Amino acid sequence: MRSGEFEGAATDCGDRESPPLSLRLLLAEAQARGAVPTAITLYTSVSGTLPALDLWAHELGIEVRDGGSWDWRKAPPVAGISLVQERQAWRIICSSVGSRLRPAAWVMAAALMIHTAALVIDWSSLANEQRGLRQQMESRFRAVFPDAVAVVDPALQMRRMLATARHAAGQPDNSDFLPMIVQVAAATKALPATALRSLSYASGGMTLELASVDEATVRNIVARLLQSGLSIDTPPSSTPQTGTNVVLSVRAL
Amino acid sequence: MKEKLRGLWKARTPRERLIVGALAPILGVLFYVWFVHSAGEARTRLQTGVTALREQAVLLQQQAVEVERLRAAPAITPSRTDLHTLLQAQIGAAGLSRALVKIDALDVNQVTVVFGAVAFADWLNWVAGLASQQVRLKACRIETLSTAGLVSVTATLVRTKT
Repeated sequence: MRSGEFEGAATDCGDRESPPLSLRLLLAEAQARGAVPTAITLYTSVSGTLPALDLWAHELGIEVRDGGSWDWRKAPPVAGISLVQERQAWRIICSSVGSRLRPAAWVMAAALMIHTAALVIDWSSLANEQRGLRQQMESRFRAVFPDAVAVVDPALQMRRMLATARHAAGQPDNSDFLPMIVQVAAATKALPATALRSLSYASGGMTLELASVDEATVRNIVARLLQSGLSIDTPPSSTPQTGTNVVLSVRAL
Repeated sequence: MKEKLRGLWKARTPRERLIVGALAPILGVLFYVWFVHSAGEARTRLQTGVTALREQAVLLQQQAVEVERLRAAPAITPSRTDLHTLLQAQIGAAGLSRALVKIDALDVNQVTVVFGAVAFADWLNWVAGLASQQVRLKACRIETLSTAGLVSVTATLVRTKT
């Protein structure tokens, strides 16, 4: 028994002569509200089960009609919510937005692909140049030193071989003690005489141990050493406090 | 392959399709951002490396030319005097004998000298003067003393081999 747009319930204990109790109760409730229906339409799901309509009408006090057999296909098309139609509407909106954005999406995809391709081409070009430069340096080193067994770092090996060649020719090399001490002396000339506690030199590198110097002084010395063409192997890792020792390792480039 | 993917897609429920459809572009954008960021960083590193390599290649070329020039120059003839004797004579000539603590020959072309308290300027002049004898400083340790200008020095000197 349908009691609302989306509500209904099975009836109880009715028979051919008397209507179900629930139907009577509903009519009584409607009567109390002052909304008594003018008629009740009965639909049957099985043929030949239609009750005695005049007896039901007498019992209920209102007209009872024969609605024939029930077929869900007879329901009005606008009754209830059509989920299929809602879904189609959603799809239509998405599809229209999608079709409008499709050209923009293609342009964006093309731009991203061009960007990616440019990145890859640029990277490959640099990698090729790097490989080429390494090969060129190795071949140049081998041309000068054909007896070299292994060429791992041609720049460093050439630097060492040049130092050896200069010494063999009686010429000073940049990594020698004398050229380096001249540069270090120039960089540390502002220091008080007692600030430089010790200086060590070996294998082309010089280590300075400074005492009682502040951070600004150390930075100044490092800047001057770098300016004079030396490299700092181990820059001061921590900020020196006044009164502490600082060790600087410098090397010729 | 395409049919397999289409079959997989059709096998998904509408809810799963919605989730996949929403996540795929987000993941795509995230992957692209990650890729571009990584590639950009790698490219910067590579560019720095290539720039340094270009400079090294130019320097190596100059050094190679210099090596060839030095090889072509007439060879020098180092002093035949024993290095130990030569250094002792040079120390005496420089007036550093009083500061000399020890002098040991490590081999024919290598000698270690130890000065107790020597004026740094005098010692440096002595080392500079040894260059004309094809002798150079290989290693040293210099420590300042309480008296201004005075240092203690331990140095290893070598003579260029012929």
